[in-house]
Amino acid sequence: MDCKLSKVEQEAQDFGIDLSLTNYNLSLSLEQRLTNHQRALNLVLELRKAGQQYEQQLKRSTQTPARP
Amino acid sequence: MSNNLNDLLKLLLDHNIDFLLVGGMAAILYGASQITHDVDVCMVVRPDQVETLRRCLAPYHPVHRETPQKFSFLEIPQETSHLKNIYLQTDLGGLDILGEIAGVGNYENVLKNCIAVELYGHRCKLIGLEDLIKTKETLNRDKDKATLRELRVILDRQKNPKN
Repeated sequence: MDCKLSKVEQEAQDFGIDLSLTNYNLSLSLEQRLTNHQRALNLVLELRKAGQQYEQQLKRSTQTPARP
Repeated sequence: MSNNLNDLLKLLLDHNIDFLLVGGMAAILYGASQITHDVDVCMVVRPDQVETLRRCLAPYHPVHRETPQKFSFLEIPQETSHLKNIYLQTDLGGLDILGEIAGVGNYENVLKNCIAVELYGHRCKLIGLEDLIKTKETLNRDKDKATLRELRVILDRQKNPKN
């Protein structure tokens, strides 16, 4: 975006905030914001579950003695 | 067990519980892009409110999250007149019931600058944006730093719509 940023916008951007995401959220209705958040939370929980399953699998495979 | 914070919020609204929405869900409603794992509400924790909460949360197995034994909220505590904060885990997600909000004060203080929004066919009271920012500044937690900056941008946009 070429337009000049305000001081707080510049600070947020420098911190790593994606302002296009903020702009998108602000274009949504309140219930749409909550729905999108729940979708994102579900994804985080699924990824976490997949990560835990992968770690368990890894643990099991390192504990199994190698075949000759 | 399926986490659904929106259903948890709807449940509280459907049962006419007198609360103010604070914390992460309030930040999301203001437009922040953070992810939160619980619903935080500020309320006066009166015995009649606790009874209503127990009735509406009963199908979702509420337990005291911070007790190792995960005591059921439906049974404990029996004496509810002295309660200030309650931290629950339910089948729908976490629910933090707070009698006081850092940097702002009790329910009456938060009420002063709150706004009312229409949500799921109900009127929902939401902590004021400046108070929400004040809370996050007071708590000064690393996990809030990004949200704090985003909320400041949103406040700036509200005050200076041309930005």
